[in-house]
Amino acid sequence: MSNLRDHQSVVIDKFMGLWARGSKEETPMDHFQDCINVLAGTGQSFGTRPGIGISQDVAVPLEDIRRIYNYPTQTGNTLIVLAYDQGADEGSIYHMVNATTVFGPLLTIEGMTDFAFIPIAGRAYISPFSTFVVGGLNVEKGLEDEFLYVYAGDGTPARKAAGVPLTGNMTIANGAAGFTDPGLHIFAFVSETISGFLAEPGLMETFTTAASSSVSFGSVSASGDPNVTKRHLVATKVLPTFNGDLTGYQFFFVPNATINNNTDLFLNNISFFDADLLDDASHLFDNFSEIPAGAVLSIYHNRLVLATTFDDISLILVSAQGEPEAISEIDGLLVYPPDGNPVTNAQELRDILYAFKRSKTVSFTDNGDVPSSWPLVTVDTALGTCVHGIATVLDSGSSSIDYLIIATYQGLSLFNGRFITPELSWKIEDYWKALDRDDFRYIQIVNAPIQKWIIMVLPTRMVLVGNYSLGMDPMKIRWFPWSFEIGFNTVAIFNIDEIILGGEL
Amino acid sequence: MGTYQVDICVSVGTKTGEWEGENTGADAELIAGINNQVIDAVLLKGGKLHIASPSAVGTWLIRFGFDQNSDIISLDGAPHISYNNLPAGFGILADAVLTIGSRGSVTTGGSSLKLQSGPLTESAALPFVGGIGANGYVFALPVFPVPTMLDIINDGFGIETTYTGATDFSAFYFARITGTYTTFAFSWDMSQDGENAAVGELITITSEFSIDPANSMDLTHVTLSMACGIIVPIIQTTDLFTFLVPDSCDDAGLQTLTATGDGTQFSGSVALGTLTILLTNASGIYTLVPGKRQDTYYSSHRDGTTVDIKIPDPTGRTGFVGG
Repeated sequence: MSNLRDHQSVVIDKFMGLWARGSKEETPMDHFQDCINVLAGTGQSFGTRPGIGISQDVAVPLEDIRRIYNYPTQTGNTLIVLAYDQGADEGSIYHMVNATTVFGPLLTIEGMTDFAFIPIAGRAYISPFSTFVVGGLNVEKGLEDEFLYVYAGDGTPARKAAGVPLTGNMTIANGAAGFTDPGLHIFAFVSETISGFLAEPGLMETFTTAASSSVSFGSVSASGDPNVTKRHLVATKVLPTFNGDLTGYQFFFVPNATINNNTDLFLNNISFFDADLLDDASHLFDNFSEIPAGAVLSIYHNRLVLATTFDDISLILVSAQGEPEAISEIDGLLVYPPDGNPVTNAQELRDILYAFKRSKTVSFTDNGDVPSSWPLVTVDTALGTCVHGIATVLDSGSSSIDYLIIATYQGLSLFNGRFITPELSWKIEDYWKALDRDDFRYIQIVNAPIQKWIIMVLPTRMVLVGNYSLGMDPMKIRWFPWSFEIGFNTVAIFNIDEIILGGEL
Repeated sequence: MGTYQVDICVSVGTKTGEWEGENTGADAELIAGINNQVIDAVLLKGGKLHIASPSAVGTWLIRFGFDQNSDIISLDGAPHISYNNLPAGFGILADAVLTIGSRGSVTTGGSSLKLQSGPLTESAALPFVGGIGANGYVFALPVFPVPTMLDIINDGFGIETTYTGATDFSAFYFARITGTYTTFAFSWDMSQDGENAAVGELITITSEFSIDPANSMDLTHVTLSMACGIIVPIIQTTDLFTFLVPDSCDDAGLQTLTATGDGTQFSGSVALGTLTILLTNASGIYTLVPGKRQDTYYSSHRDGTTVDIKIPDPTGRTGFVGG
């Protein structure tokens, strides 16, 4: 390039994305002071962003999409979708198996403008929530008089998680020749649903067994819940005295005493000794029979974590290990110090459960005992996040690799147990801080490691892409805002690297 | 300003008498005869339009027509173009004349030329304004009302000749309408020029014709159109034109709104502005497609069809002051 006399030519051969920090004159030469619908190319070049195509190849596609999550099932990677009908004020959840197959609506609830979701063992746990204005503050919390739902992934409608005990009056008599520890026992049956939830003991009756006889049970009620697949016999050990309180004694599962269906009304000739009663069933009395809806769902140490119910915005419910629907009303609770702000998010990282409010972060550590005994540690008293403000990674649904990517009021930050500064969005601080904090609930983030992109849907319903192919570093990451003909509300990753956007006009 | 010449007839209308061209009375020969531009002061009939039987006493009429699509108009001596390709804002001034070459014993006293005010209706005989010259007889078109180019094109002209004697003879050739034209530059205002619009949205075009007719568009003499649909005016006055974006324009994206003059104030088409017709309901689930050069949306008809829209203005402004 020829030079004009006394002028030095300036070559611009690096394009490092958007710079929105300070005045425009301070924009470095290798950044854009303004850009839209471009994307980093190979090396440090740039080009037009990729276009979008339709995801459904059907005559009547889903519309008015509010939320999409990646939903890994037993048989493949799918999507679970919330479509919201503004006119009817109804949210409906669908299961999009592939471009041509959609199940649903699985669940339709009035007022469900958003939902929390966690997949466990191929099932989808769904919690409807919405935004309420409380004292001038937007609060995302579970819908009033609504509950946690479970969906099997097979197209059948979602049902309420947990369940109620069996009811009725069973009959007990001595059976054929057998054995028991003779004396007064209390017997009951525990129903088990197809998702493995054990209800509290029901059909409780007392009976005095004989040493050389087994025990037979009749009129064992079937459950009114069609999802019950088994009924387990539980019993107390011999009671030397009985005060009349059927629930005041410890129950145990009786070995080899299960009705493996929800139809038979009898179980005959059960023999057992008290020494065989090892598996406690009493804890089932304390479990929620209906788990209230919350705004947050997560997994920690194989326990389901649910937070921010309609009545308790600082309460976190934690299930028994391996039993996502078994949440004790007594000791399955974590209390986030109340301050008028709701719990907005929860995520496990390196064996610790981090719980967030909009501008606060605490942690809980599983000490091997019941959740209510877990110690709380304050991590940050200034930074937190919003309901969808933690990036999910690939299509696993899990948020973490070795760090979390979290949207805070300060910016988009890496979190490894503390918020790392400077934040990833340092170069576009002004752009970030221009976002309306009251609408941070609209932010949703995915991390696509194959493309090395962080993709965010913003409160403006535009998309912001951070290309970190040069490094996950505030100085090297390249930011590019994108716009479309419609506004997008949600983003997810499907089939490892397929980026899905959902929107409404 | 410039000069125009319409000199190629394309059709024969009604006629009485036995008109002939070079050899026969076929329409093609009649047209060739009246279009014949050879200024021939010697030969009587060859290649010209004439009555087949000389001394056929009576009054004989033949009409000729133009059309809007054929290349029959020459501006400033340039190659011919069609009416539809006239430059935007084209308008003829009041000095149009009709000239026809003529040979024969029946001169202006026995022949008359008439401008048609409809395909079957002729005006009174046009005044003869010039004698036989090298280019033939010159007749002025009516001054008032000023015919528009569209009138000329749509209506054509006619020749009526009267033979009273056995030796009367007339031959006609090189009929042309000439005059001066100008290209009017009108002002107007469009309410959403360059902006987004939705189906059913009201679009307003305003003009100041009632205040400044020389420089403003008369909105009563235009037809508005967009490629995506027919525009039906709600209000159409000299100063105001309003319409609703039609349903057929749903998903249409960037559209140019065009005003086509009816020839009264101007001919041709003028682009009034652009609208980007929004998708009314393209909501749904989409996939980012690497390398895709445009965005594909669900059609608002929600019937499985799609619409492709270009990626909105990829732009990057560098750190240089001024971009």
